[in-house]
Amino acid sequence: MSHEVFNWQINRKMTYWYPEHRPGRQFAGVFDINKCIACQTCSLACKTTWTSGKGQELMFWNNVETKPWGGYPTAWDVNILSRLGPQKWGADEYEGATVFEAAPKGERVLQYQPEDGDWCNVNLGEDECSGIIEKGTHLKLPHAVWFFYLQRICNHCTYPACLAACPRGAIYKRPEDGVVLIDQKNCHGHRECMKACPYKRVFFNVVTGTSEKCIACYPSLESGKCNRCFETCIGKIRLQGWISTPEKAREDNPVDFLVHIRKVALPLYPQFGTEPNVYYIPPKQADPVFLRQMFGPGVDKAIATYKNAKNDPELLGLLLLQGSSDRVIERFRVKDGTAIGYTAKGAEIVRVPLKEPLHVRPYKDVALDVFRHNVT
Amino acid sequence: MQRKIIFPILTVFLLLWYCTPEASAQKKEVKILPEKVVSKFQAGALPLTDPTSGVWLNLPASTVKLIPQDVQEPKLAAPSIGSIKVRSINNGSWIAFHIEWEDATEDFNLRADRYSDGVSVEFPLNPKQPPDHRMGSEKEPIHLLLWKAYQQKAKEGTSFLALNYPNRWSDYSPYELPGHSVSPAHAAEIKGLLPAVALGNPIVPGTAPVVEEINAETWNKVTIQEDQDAKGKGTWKDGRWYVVIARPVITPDPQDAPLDGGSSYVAFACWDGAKANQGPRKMVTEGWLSLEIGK
Ligand code: SF4
Ligand code: SF4
Repeated sequence: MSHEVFNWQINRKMTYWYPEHRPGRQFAGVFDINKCIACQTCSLACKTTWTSGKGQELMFWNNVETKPWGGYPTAWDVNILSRLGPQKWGADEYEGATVFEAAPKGERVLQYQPEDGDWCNVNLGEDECSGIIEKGTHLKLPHAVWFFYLQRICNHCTYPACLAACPRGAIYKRPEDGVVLIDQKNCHGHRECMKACPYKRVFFNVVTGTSEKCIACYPSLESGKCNRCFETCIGKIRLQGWISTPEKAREDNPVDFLVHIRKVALPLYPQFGTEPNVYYIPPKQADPVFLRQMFGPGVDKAIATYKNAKNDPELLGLLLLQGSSDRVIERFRVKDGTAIGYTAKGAEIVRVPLKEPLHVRPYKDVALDVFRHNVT
Repeated sequence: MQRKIIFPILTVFLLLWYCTPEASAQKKEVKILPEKVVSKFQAGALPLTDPTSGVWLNLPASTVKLIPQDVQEPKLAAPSIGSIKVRSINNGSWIAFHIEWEDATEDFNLRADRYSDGVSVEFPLNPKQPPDHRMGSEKEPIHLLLWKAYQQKAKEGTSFLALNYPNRWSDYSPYELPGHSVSPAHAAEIKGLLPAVALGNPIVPGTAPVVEEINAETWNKVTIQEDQDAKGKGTWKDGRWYVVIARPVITPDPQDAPLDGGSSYVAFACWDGAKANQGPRKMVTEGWLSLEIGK
């Protein structure tokens, strides 16, 4: 069945298998690509929490891959993009076809199925840069030769392709938080979701015969705590929260601020049409042409805004709050050189200074009448 | 005059509505084919787990034509198994269907990119008013007996993990050390690591019966029956599948299609794993065939 729904990321109506039905609130994340060090702590935190069972050996619900060459499953992005073919962004909206609109006759979604071997190389292409570094190359922005890390979890899409494709109706989007789940009691292992998800975030378990995917750590989410991959992030690149639709955006909601107000965080491949809810601050060193294909036409402005953060106390403050607590920061405020994170009810969670105080110890300790040397 | 205008407007409106996806979703198509399947009475035990027995192969067979499932997305784009040979006997307590078809490869593996061969026999729950033969209609369920090659292999002891990844390393529960027995408390904990197992998903390989009894009331209203009494077995030999699917003729289960009246309807569906047939991507009969049960 085909219904008309509105997708704000492509700024137009599009067709979807079910009618528009947004959850009460929508789980969302913002990942600052510029800060990721590819330590894979997030991948392992998820692995040890959720996918250490039998039949889950090849599963990484969270993975970090190196762009442009890396991808898990292998070449997932190249595969779906080449099937979608060249498409066009207009001045105000996406003019091309989404994965729903490009579905061939008899299908619900444009799809492809990775081969089993594609799931076996989780970090293929790690740290490989875009090309050969020529003699005499020097650093300038963007870099002549570049790479960056892409952190990937399920996007808990507003219009999930996985959910649309399931012939059993075994996938559902929770009305209370927008988390997309596969009902493990009713999944029949048809793998339509796996073929349909353009981001390839559905995995198959050969022991249970069912498909499995990221559950947004819903037990911690329900108690106001951050998900495992957010909480453990060494680079403090991840911010967890709730996203509003653009017309309801709040200045003091951290995700809204980054996505809707400053527009510094962008969805990954918005042209797919699923309205993904993980947003990325694009890497400033990479080729803008490549980035525009990944994050849409807003990339150049987003990078310019990001680079200007030092002159934008609110943005700077929020970027510093990112990763500063294991609790979900739902409101924030920047005042007198301090950024403060709050719960939705206004209880303070954490505060960070915009500028770390600088302490310089005098050369001589007068009380002890000694000089402070760095000599042992 | 007014009537003259209203009538064409109404007709156009109705026609337009009929063409909308909503309308086509509700459209129920009941087709009764002229072909018949006759289940011969034969006293005594039936070789329910021996599909290549002469008892079956000496019976007269009807060739039943199959077409790709083309009403519900995802549809089957390319035809796979064009026809099946159907035979049936009953001994008063069990009714069995012997289904034979040509398939160059035996597909039973379970893996992200592997699909299983399979076949199903379907009956209307209400033989007086049969619903759409493919997956039933709203409030008019069908009773489906499903045989899948992978479920049989799992039941026979095949581990798809060991089969596909002989050198795998499963970082698993310390309570499951080789050579040590697992206490019941720890067994529950281990089970919890596999949500589909913990929740009792009836399709989990090894726990599912070889022939699964299902009720379907449209494409996404599918329930696996509480009481599983069907039997059967498949054997692949020289490029052909031979499958027996059997069920009791009379059962107290209200979810089972009644066959005690001596006649009903029957339909079939078939999956070719090598062609990625799975779920609604299947070959189906064009409609219901009449079923006559000899006494
Ligand atoms: S990212 Fe894929 S698996 Fe996750 S909700 Fe979207 S379509 Fe479904
Ligand atoms: S834990 Fe954070 S910094 Fe490390 S790889 Fe994951 S996202 Fe990147």
